[in-house]
Amino acid sequence: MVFSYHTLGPFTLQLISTDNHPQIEVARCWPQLFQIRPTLYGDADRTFLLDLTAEFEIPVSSLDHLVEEKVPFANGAIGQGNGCTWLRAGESLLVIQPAQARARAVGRIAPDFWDLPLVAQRDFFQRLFFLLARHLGSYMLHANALYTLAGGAEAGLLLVGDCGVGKTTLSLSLIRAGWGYVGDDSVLLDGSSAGTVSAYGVRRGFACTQESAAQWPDWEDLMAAGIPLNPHKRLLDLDKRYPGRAAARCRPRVLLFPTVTGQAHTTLCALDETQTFLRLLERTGAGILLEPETTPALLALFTRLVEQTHAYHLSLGRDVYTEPTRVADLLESLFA
Amino acid sequence: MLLPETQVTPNPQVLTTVLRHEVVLLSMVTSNYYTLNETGARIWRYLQAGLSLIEIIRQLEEHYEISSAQAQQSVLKLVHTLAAEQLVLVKMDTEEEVYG
Repeated sequence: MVFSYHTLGPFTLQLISTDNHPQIEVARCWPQLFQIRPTLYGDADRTFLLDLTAEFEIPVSSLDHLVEEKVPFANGAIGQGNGCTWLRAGESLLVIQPAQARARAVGRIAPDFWDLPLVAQRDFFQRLFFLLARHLGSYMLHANALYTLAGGAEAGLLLVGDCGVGKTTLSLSLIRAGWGYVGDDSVLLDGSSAGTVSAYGVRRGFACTQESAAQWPDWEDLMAAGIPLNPHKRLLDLDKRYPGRAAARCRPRVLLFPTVTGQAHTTLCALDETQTFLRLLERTGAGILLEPETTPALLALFTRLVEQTHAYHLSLGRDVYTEPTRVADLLESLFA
Repeated sequence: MLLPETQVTPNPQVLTTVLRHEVVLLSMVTSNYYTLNETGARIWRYLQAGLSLIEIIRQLEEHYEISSAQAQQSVLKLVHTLAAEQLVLVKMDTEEEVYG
C-alpha cells in the first residue's frame, strides 16, 4: 500500500493506492493542472481521501442499471445509485462515500485514463474535488478570483459565470494592469475561518485564447511557452512573468457577473442581495440538489458570501483591450 | 377550496434562505426556486412558526394596518400559489395531506 499527502486550498488530499503506478500518474498529473502541492501530513478533519485500492469485478458499462446518470460531461458522467454518488470516465470509476467522517472516494483510475486529453483529465479530477468538497462544507464555484491592494488592504474580486462570458479576458487584462491573482475558472469557497468566506484557487495557470493573446503582442513568448489545451487556448504560467502576484486565497469583497458586449465602454449595474443570491444559485444548475444533505450548508455559504460582498452585473466593452487602465480604474473604485 | 380555516404547513422538502428583506425558497422536489417579497416572507415565517391562516391574517391586519378582508385576500392568494408550486402542504377536510 502506498500513501501520499497533498494540499489543495484549505484541504489535504490523501491518496492511497495498491502500487506505485496510479500513485505516480496522479502525482504527476495533479500539480500540472491544479494548485496542488505535495505535503508530509495534513489536518485530519479537512481531508479528502482518494482510495484507489478498490477492485471492481464488473465493467463500468454494466453498471448502467444501478446508476442513474445525473450530470453528464464530455468524457464521463456523475451518477447516483445504491445510495452513493458515482463519478466515471471510460473504465475509471470513483464512488463517493458520504457516510465516512472524512470526504472519501474509492475506486480505480483505469490505465487508459492517462490517454485522455489533458483537459478531460482535469475535468474529471475537478469534478471529484467538487463532490468531495461539498461534504466538508465547501463549494466549488465557476469563477475567477483576483485581488487588488487599491483600497489599502488586500481585497478579493470574484468574476462569476460560465465559459465565454469574459471572465478570463477581464482577469488577464486586470493582471496586466497590476492586480494579483488567485485562480482561473474555478474557486473553492470555504467559510471555515471566523465567519469569513474565502476563495481558494483550484486550477493552475490561466487559459488564454489566441484572440486575446493577439491583442497583447508582448505575451507572444508567454503563449508560446503555454500548454496547449485545444487549438484555440493555451494554459499560461503567469508566475514567471508576474512573480509574487499569485495568492493561494482571497477574501471576496466584490462579485461581478460579466457578459461580453460589443459596446465601447465597460459598464456596471449594481445587484441587490436577492439578485446576487439567485445568480449564484443559477450557477449551480442541477448540482445544488445532487446530494441534498449538503444543500443547506451550501445555501448558508452563499448567504454569507452575499452578505460580505457588493455585487454588480458587468457589461464588458471593447475598452478591455483598447483602454485597459480605464477598466481597471473602474473596478478599483468599487473597493474605495 | 382554500379557506382561512384550512390547515397549511410548509413543505419540509423546501429549503428557506432569509436575506435582508426577502426570502428565497428552494424546492428539493422540483429543483425550482422562488423569491418572496417582504410581505410574502413575513407570511412564510408565520407558516414556519406554526401559525394558522386565521392567526396570520390577524397578524397582517395589525402589522400593515389593513382591513381583515384585504389581509385575508393577500394570505389566501399567496398560499394558493405556494400550494400550486408544492411549497406548502394543505390539509383538506378528509384529513388527507395533499399538494396544491
